[in-house]
Amino acid sequence: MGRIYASAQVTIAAAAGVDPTHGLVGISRDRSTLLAREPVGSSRYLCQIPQSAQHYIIRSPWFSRAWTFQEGYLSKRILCFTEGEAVFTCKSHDLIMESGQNSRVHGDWYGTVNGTIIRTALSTQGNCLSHASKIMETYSARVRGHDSDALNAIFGILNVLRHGNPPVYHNRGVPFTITRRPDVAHSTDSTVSISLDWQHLDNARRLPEFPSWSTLGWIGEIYHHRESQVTSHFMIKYWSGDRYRELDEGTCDLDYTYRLDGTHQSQYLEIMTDVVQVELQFRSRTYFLKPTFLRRKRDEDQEANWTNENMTCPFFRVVLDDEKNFDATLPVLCSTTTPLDFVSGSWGSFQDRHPIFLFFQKGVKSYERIGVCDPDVYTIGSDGHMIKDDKNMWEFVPPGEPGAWDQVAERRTFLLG
Amino acid sequence: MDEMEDSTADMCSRCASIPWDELEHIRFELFWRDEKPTLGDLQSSSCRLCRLIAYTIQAQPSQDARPQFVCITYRNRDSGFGDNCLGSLELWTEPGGPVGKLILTTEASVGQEAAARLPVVPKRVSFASMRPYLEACKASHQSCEPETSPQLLNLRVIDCIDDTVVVAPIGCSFVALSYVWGGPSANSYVLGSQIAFPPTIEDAVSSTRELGYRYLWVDRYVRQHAYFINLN
Repeated sequence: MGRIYASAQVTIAAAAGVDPTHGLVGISRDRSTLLAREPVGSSRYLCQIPQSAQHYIIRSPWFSRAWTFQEGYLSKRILCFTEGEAVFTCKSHDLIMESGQNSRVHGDWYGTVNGTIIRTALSTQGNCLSHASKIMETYSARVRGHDSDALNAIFGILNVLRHGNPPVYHNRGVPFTITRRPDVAHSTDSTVSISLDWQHLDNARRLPEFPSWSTLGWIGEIYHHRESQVTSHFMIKYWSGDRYRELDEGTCDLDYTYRLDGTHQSQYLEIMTDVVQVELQFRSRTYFLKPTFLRRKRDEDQEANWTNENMTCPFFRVVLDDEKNFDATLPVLCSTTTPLDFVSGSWGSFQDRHPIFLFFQKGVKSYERIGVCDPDVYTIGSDGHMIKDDKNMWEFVPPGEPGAWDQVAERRTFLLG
Repeated sequence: MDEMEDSTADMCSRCASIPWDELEHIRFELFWRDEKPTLGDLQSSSCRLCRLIAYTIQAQPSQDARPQFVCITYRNRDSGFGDNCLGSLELWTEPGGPVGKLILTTEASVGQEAAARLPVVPKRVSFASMRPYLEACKASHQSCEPETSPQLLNLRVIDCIDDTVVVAPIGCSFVALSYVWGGPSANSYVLGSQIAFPPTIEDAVSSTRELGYRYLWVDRYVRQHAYFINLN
């Protein structure tokens, strides 16, 4: 159906009202020019001001729904009827207001933010993994009428990206790319990059129709950090026909498997990676992880200041997807998608590779993703508060010593649902 | 003092706690951080300011039934709405972010400078001013060309001249409507019959004609049996 919007000469967007009884404002219904005001204090007034068309678009039910996202995104030209001015936009041009004003009424940050949000949803085109991730991020903020619509309402856009150049594939709404580039270090000739590094902005609700590793498996707005690479250290296999396989161009025609029911093997990823069993601690209203594999660098000059035991204890801050329903009594597995480099022992250079740590917990049939953390190191300050610490103050515990990653980690293959 | 009592008489304690007469001497201030009223509180309040604020925000559906808390930031003279404008109140919801703005003025009307900055839009849409943008795009933007390759077969569209539902002629130019369905499912319409559509669709029909097109595709009302054959 997305093709219909892409084939239309113009799309008329009804960006006002909650249903089709509202009419298009400015056609059968007059635009209101009445501005409310109320007296306050001594001879002062609080006045409404005419709102920009961007304000009306962003606040409209049309802009908040899941289905209308791809209808707008796939359309080549849009004539948008708001509660205020009508607005024209196309794939080659920014918003043009009916009044002839090219952009913002309020030349402030509010107008700027709104303009960016609208451009992302309506005008911006692209074919790269970060663009696809941005699409999923935008989509996660939209309201779905039916939970089962989660994939269908974005399928038109994913299909366009999948047939673009270069193609951005997806598995259950998780975008990935395959780059043909000899990778000597891992003796492969292509690199798979996948958007797994996202976190929820607020407590999310699990949607069992889709797997936990997909943003579609949750209801809640997400934020994407960056993309991860599939390596021999963090191997992802997909269900392809009859078994879990490594991904290459030949096995990535996954488009038609989604309509299967939620119990099919294809909803799992087979993951092979090093995992560490960890305990999450609740402090300062959020969950923290104490990484045993880090220690403070020896620094003769300052050693005298580190007599306080707490000062040397690092923490990672963990963002759980559904913190409210987190069961801290069940074991939590942690793994990183970035190979840990023990040779140099430098935490700073490891962190420069933007690693992420993923957290899993065993569910009924398989493991489930429960959260992520950015490896920023926090310590407890003298006032008891968590403070972000300098990454260069830390180093890996050398291999073989107690607490080192190679001592606590175990290579496992498990299904992630 | 009498004057002040008059203006706060029908305000709730939350709104009356904002130092309205002091604001113009304050550069920046955050209000209601601790009170945390929800949008629902403001909508159902009997206080006129609460209602003005709720009305300005325009309630939006959120993803779940979480309450949206409202807070206000005041900025002195930042909006450039003229001499009569003392400052602006930016309205925020959490979750949600910035959602609207009110200005504090010394006059009941927005200052003249302010009015000059704002778009003057007539009560009705001017297609005469919109059409040139569409024509310019058609004439010069290659990347905005509608797709033509997949043949749309049995695509049912509204014939905006005869006001009937017809099968779209192959290769015809058409306009699409994107809208929020709202309530329960609509009846489907019989081919060739005269029909009455809800106002948004009626308006889209007349807009399609104004834009110079004959056919309008509207999901749900005319969707049945639309499918594609990819000739490749």
